[in-house]
Amino acid sequence: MHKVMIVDDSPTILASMSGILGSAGYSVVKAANAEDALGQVKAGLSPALVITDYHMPGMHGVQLIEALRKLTQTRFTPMLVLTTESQQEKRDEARKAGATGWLVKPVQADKLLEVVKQVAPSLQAIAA
Amino acid sequence: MRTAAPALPKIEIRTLLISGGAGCLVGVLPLVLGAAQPAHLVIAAASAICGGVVTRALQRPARSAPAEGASPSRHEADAAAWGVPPAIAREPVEAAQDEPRDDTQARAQAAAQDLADLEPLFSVTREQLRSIVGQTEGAAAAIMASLEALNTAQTRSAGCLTGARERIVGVAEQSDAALHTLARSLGTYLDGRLRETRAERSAVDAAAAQMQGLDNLIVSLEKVGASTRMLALNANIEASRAGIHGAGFKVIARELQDLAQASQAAMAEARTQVSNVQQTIGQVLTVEHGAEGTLSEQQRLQALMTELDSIAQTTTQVLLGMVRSDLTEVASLTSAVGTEVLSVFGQVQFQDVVRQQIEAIEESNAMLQLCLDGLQRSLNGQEPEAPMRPAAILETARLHYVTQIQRHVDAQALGRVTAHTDVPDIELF
Repeated sequence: MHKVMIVDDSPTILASMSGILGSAGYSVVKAANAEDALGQVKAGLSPALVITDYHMPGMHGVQLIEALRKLTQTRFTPMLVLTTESQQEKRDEARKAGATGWLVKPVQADKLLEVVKQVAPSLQAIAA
Repeated sequence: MRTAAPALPKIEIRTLLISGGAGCLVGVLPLVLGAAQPAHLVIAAASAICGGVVTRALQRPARSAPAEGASPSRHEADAAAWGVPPAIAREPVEAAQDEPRDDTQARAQAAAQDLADLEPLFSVTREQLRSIVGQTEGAAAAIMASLEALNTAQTRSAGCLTGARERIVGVAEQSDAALHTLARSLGTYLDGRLRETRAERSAVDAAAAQMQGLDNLIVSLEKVGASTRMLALNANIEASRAGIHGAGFKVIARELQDLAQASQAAMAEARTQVSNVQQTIGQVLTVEHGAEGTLSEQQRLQALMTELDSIAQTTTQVLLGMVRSDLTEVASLTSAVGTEVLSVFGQVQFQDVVRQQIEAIEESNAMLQLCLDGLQRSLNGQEPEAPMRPAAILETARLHYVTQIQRHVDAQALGRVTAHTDVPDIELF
């Protein structure tokens, strides 16, 4: 089943994103850090969309994207960075790593859902 | 009221021994070993000077507690009012007039001690900041839990509303159709009965007219019978006058008289029969008159059914109107609640933004602590473990900024004008 993977060390963000995406009918899977996310994908999870924080203990979000791009099931998966970070250099770094887009926290629910539909249109089929 | 500065102790023998010993050891040892160089003499001299510095350090006046029963100083009183522990609320060291060099060292030592005493403040500040993060996380978690509950309730409410709306529309349409069908069936039935009644009435009216004609005919025949009887009577009289010659004619006259009597009897019977039939027709007409009342009832019933049909239509329209307007508005409001819930789901993310800003302050706090630790070591005549300049602290703190707000506040506080870079919050690559 297609799922949206949320990666963030903040329980607030995990709950917030689950609330927004869950209300719109998306199925969400959560990871508290990049290593956990990578482990889930290596264990067989094939998310239809990955939304990751930038600053996390251990691997940061862009490193996670680089690692996921090397795996078969996430090579072409859309990946968004959701972060408080606003520096253009970090954005460029994310773009080079293969990120699909960059969202600055706090992100409005309707804007987030618009972006999700835009970058992962196949997910619309399972949306309520 | 200030306390008098304690008198500086005189140089002790052991300190002289330390300085002299150190100098001699460095300077004389190479001579003994036969490897004396000019540099060793310089080192010996420097060692002697160092010994003197160490001696000065050892001459630092001890912190004396105020004498028992003595009144607290103004500094101590202020500190007590703010709840500052006595160890931190130390009286500044008074300047000694007679030995300025020793006084400077004493001040440096006191400042170093002040810095050392600041360490708990950094720990407390760090824990306070962590506590704030914890509190905001707890509050955010509570808000999220409430939002989840609200969202679930809103979703169920919207589902119930949709179901109720569909059911009301279904019932209204079914009710309307059933009443309409009933009214139409009754109308058709009543129309049929009305037509039948009208046909029966026409037949009875025709029969009554025919019977009246028959009655008139009987009256005419009765007149003919009466004339015949008079003719037979006159013929009989004339036959009697004719005597034997009228005998045959008298027989005819008698027969004619019998015929007139028989005809009169038949006419009477016919009149009786016609009268009976007319009575029957009269009864039928009476029934028909009743039927006219029934007809009127039927018409009223039909009008009632038409009215019922109209009421059913009106009721359906009202119900459908209610569904379209009131329930639609309620559905719209429920949807708006859902939108607001979604919005709050997004806004709660501010907690993570604040957390990261507080963590940046915490990092600055830690660096400040390191800096003050270095200052403390310098004041104590020690080499700082990790020298750090205030400018470097600020620069490092800036490196930890993640939000545009942090950079803006930084620039604003320092009165700097920064180039406004309008970076979009959402960017798709």
